[in-house]
Amino acid sequence: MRPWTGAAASLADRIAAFVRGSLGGAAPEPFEALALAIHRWQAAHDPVLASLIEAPVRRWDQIPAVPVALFKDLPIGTVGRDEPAVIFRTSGTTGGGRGSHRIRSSALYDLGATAWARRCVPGMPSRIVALLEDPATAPDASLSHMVARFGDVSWHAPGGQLDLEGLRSRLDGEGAPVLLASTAFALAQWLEAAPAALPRGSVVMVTGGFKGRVHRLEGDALYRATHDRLRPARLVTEYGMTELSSQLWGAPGLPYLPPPWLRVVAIDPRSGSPLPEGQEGQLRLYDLCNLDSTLGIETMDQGRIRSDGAVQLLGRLPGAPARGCSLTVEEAWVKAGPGGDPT
Amino acid sequence: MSWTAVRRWRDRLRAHDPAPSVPHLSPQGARAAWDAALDALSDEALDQVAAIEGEPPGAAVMVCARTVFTAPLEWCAVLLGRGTPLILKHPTGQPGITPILTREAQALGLPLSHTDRRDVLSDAALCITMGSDATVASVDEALPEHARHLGFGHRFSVAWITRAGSVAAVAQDAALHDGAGCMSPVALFTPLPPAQIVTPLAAAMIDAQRSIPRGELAPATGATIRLRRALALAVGTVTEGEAWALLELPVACFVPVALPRVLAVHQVADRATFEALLAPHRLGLSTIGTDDPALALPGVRCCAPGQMQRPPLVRHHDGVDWLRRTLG
Repeated sequence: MRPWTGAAASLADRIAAFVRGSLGGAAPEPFEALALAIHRWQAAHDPVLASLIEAPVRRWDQIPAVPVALFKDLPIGTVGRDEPAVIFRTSGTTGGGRGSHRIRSSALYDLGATAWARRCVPGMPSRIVALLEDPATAPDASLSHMVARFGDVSWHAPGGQLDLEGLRSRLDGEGAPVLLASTAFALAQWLEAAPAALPRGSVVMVTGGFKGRVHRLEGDALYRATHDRLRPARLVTEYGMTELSSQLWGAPGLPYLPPPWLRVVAIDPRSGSPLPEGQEGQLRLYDLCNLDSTLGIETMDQGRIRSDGAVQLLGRLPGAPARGCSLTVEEAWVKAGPGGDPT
Repeated sequence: MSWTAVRRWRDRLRAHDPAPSVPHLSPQGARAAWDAALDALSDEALDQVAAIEGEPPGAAVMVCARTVFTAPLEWCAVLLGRGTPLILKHPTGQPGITPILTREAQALGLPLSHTDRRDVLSDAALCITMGSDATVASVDEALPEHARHLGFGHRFSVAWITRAGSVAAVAQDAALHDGAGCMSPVALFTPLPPAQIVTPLAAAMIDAQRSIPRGELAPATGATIRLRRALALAVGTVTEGEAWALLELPVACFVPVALPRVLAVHQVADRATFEALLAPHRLGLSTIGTDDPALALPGVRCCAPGQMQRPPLVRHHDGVDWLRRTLG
């Protein structure tokens, strides 16, 4: 049953049509028209967002972008506390508690996430080995939720601790290509366990960074080790966050591609002013699929935006606290001992 | 004892412009902080320190933080005055003001040097560390067993103001070091209606910006200011001008984190409520700037508004009797 009614239902239909149409090369309406319509509805139903509007909004990039950390402090979005909701929560690793992303339904999330993933990773294997927590036990983990939509998944990070034996057992004798979906840190841990090569045609998906911690394998070294040891047909990278409904996909050394329903702006982190194309700045993301929460999100990440909208991600803003899902496995690993030097 | 040389060292330092070594502050801000720190090394204060009896350590190392560039000055003065050779261990690749301190000291025969090498910790009889709690813990682990360690991790300070006429001085406290010091106020608590506080405080913030312009923000700091500002827009009130902001916020939004020229203003019922609010943060509390003579918290420095970042030489530092703890 659709959870939206009235104007929200109409907007949900327009967003779904935009997702489908834009992937087919013909969006039914301009991004800006839909963005402004969503924003007007959100501002009318979210007092927090309404309080952040300090000037008339005439263009999509004038829509207030809510700082991601504000999700920890305030209920952001249009879903009331007593309304049924799908709730995704941040890892809570930057202090100040966990942020919540409340949506009435994951229908738009699922539509956009799966459609863009399949567009960016053609022939994505439907047999999936996830170095992630099972959404059955971690229903608020958005990354696990997304990966679960991609196919038939086995989960190998119960309680955030990588299950090395279970992983070996799952992959031992596997002949069909798999999608190995992992955070960067969990993948590094798996690679240190001397894994066998993946079945021919497999794809490795890496997301998240190292969040301010140190591992022997990171960045290019991690990608090289992945190619050397797992021998995937393809290695892809994903950039997303709990507060978004859509994701960007890329590959090592290549920029991330946003879907047509998500736009990214680089701003001067000191002033908040948009920067010219190609300049390095703090990233704001505007996601049309974020119907129930808020369209604009201001991250603590930095990057450059190319003329085609692709994003060269340059990590966290200098001095920004570490953040993200990679820490779930990472912290358990640090507690366990080997190599876990946080300094 | 080398107290005469220390006085000459202090006087020679006054002639230096610290601004090129302190890019995160404006030139005026660097000068103001420099002068305030040197003012504390008065002849009278040095005499008081010289009169404290005890055996100075044979050698000392001070691990310097990035933030308050003047912090080593008083430690240098005291240790060098007592004849203790001192090495300033600065952050890697960021010597800051330490070359000036050592050059002037060495010209006077004072045994001061600087380095970014961490292995100097292994020879220290006494180590003083300023920095994050993680840095203090890390240094503690690296020191030899025989070494004494005085570690000063992250601290924060607040103002408790009961009369509107006192707030202007708090703006000066917030301006010095651009809020980066642990003695800089992160918030102003008051039993007065915020409207009585904000108007004069805003005027004082404007004056402070005129006389000591804010330095350049670090990227993440600009982003964090926008976050706090957004919070105040949603649940409080924002009063702001060029390079400063006052954020009226409910006390539930208090965070002990300093932002340059951004002061949270929290109204509380009375002193008892204020003290109760701070209770969970007591271990991290350095200084309270206040016009309330009845306020006294054990281990916390209470001083007049305007003096928060001008600590006298003879005092306890974060509750530690540092002048005696640096003696045997």
